[in-house]
Formats: sequence, structure tokens, C-alpha cells
Amino acid sequence: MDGLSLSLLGAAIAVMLAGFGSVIGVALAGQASTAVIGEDPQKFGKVILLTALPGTQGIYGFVIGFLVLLKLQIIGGTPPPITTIQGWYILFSCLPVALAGFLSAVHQGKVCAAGVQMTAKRAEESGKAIILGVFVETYAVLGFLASFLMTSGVTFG
Amino acid sequence: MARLAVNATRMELLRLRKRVALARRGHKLLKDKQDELMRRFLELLARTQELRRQVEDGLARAHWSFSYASATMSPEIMDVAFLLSPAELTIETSTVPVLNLRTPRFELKSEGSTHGYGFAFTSGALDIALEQYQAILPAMVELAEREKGLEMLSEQIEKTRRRVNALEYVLIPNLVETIRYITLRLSEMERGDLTRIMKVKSMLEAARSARDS
Amino acid sequence: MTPSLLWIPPDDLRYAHGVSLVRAMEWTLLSRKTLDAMARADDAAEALEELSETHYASFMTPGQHVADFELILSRALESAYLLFRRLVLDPDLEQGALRLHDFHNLKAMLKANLEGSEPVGIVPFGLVDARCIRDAVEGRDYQGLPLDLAAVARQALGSYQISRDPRLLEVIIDTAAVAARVSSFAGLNTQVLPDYAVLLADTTNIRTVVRMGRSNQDPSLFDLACIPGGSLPVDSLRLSLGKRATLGEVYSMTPYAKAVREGLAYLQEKNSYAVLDRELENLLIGTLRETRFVFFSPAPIVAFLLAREHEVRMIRLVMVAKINRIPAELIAARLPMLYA
Repeated sequence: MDGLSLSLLGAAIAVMLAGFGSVIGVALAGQASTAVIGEDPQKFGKVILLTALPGTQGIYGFVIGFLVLLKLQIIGGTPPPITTIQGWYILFSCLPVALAGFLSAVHQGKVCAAGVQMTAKRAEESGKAIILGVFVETYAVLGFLASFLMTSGVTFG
Repeated sequence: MARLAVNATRMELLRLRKRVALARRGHKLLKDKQDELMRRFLELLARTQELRRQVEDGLARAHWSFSYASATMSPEIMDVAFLLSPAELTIETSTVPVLNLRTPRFELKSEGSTHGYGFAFTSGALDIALEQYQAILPAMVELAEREKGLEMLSEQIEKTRRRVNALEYVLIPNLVETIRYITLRLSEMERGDLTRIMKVKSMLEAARSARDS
Repeated sequence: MTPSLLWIPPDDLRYAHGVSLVRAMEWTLLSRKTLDAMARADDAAEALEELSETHYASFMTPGQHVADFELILSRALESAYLLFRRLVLDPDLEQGALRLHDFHNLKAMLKANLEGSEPVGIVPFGLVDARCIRDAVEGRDYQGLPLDLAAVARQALGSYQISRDPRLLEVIIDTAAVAARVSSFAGLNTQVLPDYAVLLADTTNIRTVVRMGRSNQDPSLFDLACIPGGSLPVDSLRLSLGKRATLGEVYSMTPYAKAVREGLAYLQEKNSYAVLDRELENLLIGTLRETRFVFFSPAPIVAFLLAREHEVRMIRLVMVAKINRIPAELIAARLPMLYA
């Protein structure tokens, strides 16, 4: 397999897995939220942030994927020759955001859904639920940073 | 006081005197009977009042337990618990003679348990309520028996008292009055006869002395 | 469904919506304060007034008469069952929660049929149409009934025809009804409900043992009345049957020690099961309360239903007590803790 294909595979994995995780997470939190909003529409403002929170991983994955594409100059330019080893570099540097994003999105979805359930009972506690959700977010951010640093470390030449 | 409408004859007088004697004897007997009935009545009354209080207390407690039991179960479960009860109650009646009365006697026979329901959905309060009803049942039947006896006794006392009164205040005074009347009447007739005889005698004597002289 | 991490049961993410909805509705459960206020009310009308300031207002019609409070309760139950059936996605669980009512209807129909009277006490909450059960009972043809109902109907009727004892018939059906709930909950790979199942079997058995011991029932009946699936061995339960004085000791090493000890003391003193019932109920409700730490499982939905059923029983207790003018402190002795 040549370097370009491996690099594209990395970008695809980053976008797909992180996005997939976000889909699960947001859907979960969303299901919980619909129940609460259906029962009490006033709480929409309180649960909307909790529902959106697991969606960030997908964005991180997409950003990394986009960075890889820029680096490969697939967008606006002709791709430089990439060796197979360099292709593997890119692929590996995409994995942190892909895996950390996937797992953290799913689990953040759960935390957020539980947070929505808590908000359903005690509306005033929604801030605390968001903080708990953000704790999970930390590891998605770390994965994103790792991927970012790794991709920017790779130079073609 | 009314006098009886009789002929004032010596025959009648004798008959009336006999009746008075009879009435007096009857009066004494009835009076004794009334006293005895009264004594029994009071004795039974004392025992019955005690029993009545017991039954009323027991029933009140059982009702209370039952309403508590019905509070601990849904009405549907309660309804079904009492369907097809295995308990069967029979009451046998007989009579016991008291003086000349036939007072009733009830014999209660209960067969089978009242517990025709399961445990899982009914509450223990139902057991207790039914137990209390069952415990009070013999006393209730005995109470019915005694109260019926009391009722019959009181009727009998009333009847006897009326008879005693009739004898004491009507029949005997009437008879005595009539006897007095006949006696007076007879002695008056006797006096009339005497006067008449004396008059005839004096007339005869006057006639004889006129003829003699 | 995400995989189980060792001992923690797997999260059932299908229930995210249902649990959330149930949590959003938890405010509708009565608070202890409301119930106490009802118990302290001067009369039944005032207690009903108190009730009309809660979620139950939506089941009342204006000028609702005190004597019709059962109607309010049955409407509330009906709406709780509707919600439950909408939210629960496992048919097994639905059966575990609602099959009970089918068994009750079966029992009512069988008893009425054997007595030759019109059925009474039919509840509309079952999974099987009551008319269907009635046809089956009257025709002695159970083809149209679900298998578990049909089997129990045959067994109960058979034993009645031999013994002529309606208690056997009822005990067999009741045992099957509770056992159905116990086995349905115990079989779930989720939190709380299996524990609840064990507790349900045990508390039912303890109540049965105490009642049978008190009224000197035939001990052989216990083999029929005993609910399988509990943590207390049947032998030790049967052994404790005749010994009322030592009953407390038999359970001294179990979680039921306090309930049995206090319950029996009260029974001895006041001739009432109030404290035993209350303490056993507290254990059950206490277990249900643990569902507050569960987020992706049918357990909170079941707990909500059971809490509603329990609440309805407590309202009935207070209302009937008020109507019959039972003193407030006597009701208070019976009122257990509440789920909410």
C-alpha cells in the first residue's frame, strides 16, 4: 500500500470513529432530553448543552482529518510523494483522536443522559451535570491534542 | 264498684261465696307466679345485659378491624377473598321449658374455616377481623337466645300481672260487693217478712179479741 | 448494548428515554408530608382536599365525592400502567409487572364460576382481556390463554375438585402470580430488580409464615404457599412455622431480623400486623430506591410503577381510615416510608 492511501485511511478513521461515537453519544443524550422536554418544555435550555456535549468529539475527528488532508495537499494542490513509512506515521497519528473520541463520546453520552435524568428531577443541578460531562471531554481533548501534535510533527521532504 | 247482675237469692249467695274463695286462691297463686317470673326475669336481665355489653364491644372491635383490613387491600382483592367461602354456619333451634313457657335454645354449628383466601395478596388484618367476628358469633347467638327468652318472660309477666290486677281490683271487689248486696238484700227481705208476720199476727190477734169479746 | 465490565450489568441504552421520562415524573409521587397531612386531616373530605392539591387532581372530577375515591385511585393506576407499557421494551418485564392482574382475574372468575355467581372484583389492568379468561373458565377450555395462566388454571381447579378447599385454589394461583413476578425480575441482567425479586419472595414468605403460625394453619399448606426464589431456605421457613416465640431468632441473622422482631412484638401487644407489614414494605421500598443510581436499565421504570402502586395502597389506607374514623396515630403506625 502506498503512503497516500495509508494517510487517507488515517484521516477517514479519525473522522469516522470520532463521528460515530458522537452520533451514539448525542442520540443517547437526545433521547433522554426529549423525555424531559416533553414533560416540561421549560427545561429545554437546561438540557440542550448536555445533549450537544458528546457532539464535540466528532468535530475533533473532523478537524484532524481536515488537517491531514491539508498536509497532504489534496485540497488545493498536488500531493507530494509520500513514502509508505510516512503514510504509517500519518495513520498512527490519527488513532488517538479516533479511539479516544469514539470511546469518550459514547461514555460522555451516557454521563450526559444521566445528567439529563438528574436535571429532570432537579432542574437547578444542571450546571453540575455539565461539569461531570466535561470531565469526560478532557480525554477527548487530550486525544485531539496528541493527534494534532503528531500530525504536525510529520514532515515530507 | 259494679255489682254483678244476679238474683239476690241465697243460692246465688252461696255460689258467689265459693267464687270469691276460688278467686282469692287464684289470685294468690298468680301473685306467686308473677313474683317467680319477675325473679327469673331480673336474674336473666342482669346476665343478658352483661352479655349484650360484651357483644356490642366485640362487634365494635370487629367492625373496626374489618374496616382497617379493607383499608389495607384493594376492594377487588377483598371481593374475591370472600367468594366461595368454605365456612358453613347452621343454627339448630329447640325449646326449653321455663315455668310454662317454651323459651328457644339455639345451637350454633360452624363447619370449615372462614379463611378461604390465599396469603400473598390479602393482608393479615383480614385474618384478625374475621377471627374477631368468629369469636363474637357464639355470644351473639346466645344473646339472641336470651333476649328472646327475656321478651317471652316479660310478655308472660305482663299477662300475669293483668290477670292478677283483674282479680285483685275487679273480680274480687265485684264479688264482695255483690255478696254484700245480696246479704243486705236478704236481711232486708227477712226484716220485711218479720214485719209482715208481726202485722198479720197483730191483725189476727185483733180479730180474735173482737170475736172473743 | 455496551459490554459488561466484569460484575456490573450491561447498560441497556434503549432505556435512556424511558428512565429520563420517569425521572421527570417523579415529582408526581406523593411526599411523606402530603400523606401525613392527609392522615392528620379532620375528616375524609379534608383528606381528599389535600389529595386534590397533588398530581391526583388530574384524576378527579369537580365535586368528586369522598366515597368515589377508589375511582380516582383506579384512574391513577390505569395511567401508571399505560405509561409503563409504553416505556418498557421487554415483554418479559411487562409480564413480570402485570401478569399478577391476570392471575387475579383468573382467580375471581374461577371462584365465581365454582360458586355459580357473577364474577366480582375484576381488575382492568391485566395483559389478557378479562372476557377471554371468563370464556376459558366457563368452557373449561384454556387453549386461548397464555400457557402459564392455563397451566395454573388447570392445577388450581384440579386441586379444588379433590379437596373442595377454596383456600388451596387461591393459594396455588397467588403463589403462581408472585412467583411469575419474582422469576421475571430475577432473570433480568440488570441492577436492583434481581435483588428486589429475592426480597419480594422472602417478605411474602415471612408474612405467610407469621400468618399461618398465628392462625394454626395446616403446615402442609406452606409447601404450596411458599414462593420460590427467595434467599431464606424453605426448610428453615417451615421449621419456624409452629414456633411463634422463636420466630424472631430464626431470622436474627438475616436482613429481616429487625422487621420480624418489631413486627412480632407489635402483633403480640396490639394484635395487629401493622408494624410487620410496614417494616417489610420499608425493605422493599428501600431496595427500589437504589434505582436512583441506575441510568440505563428498565429498573427505574419498574420502580416508578411499583412506587405508584404502593402509593395508591397508602392513599387507600388513609382514606378508608378517615372514612371509618380510625384515629390518626393508628394510621401513622402503619405508614411506611415512601419511594420519592
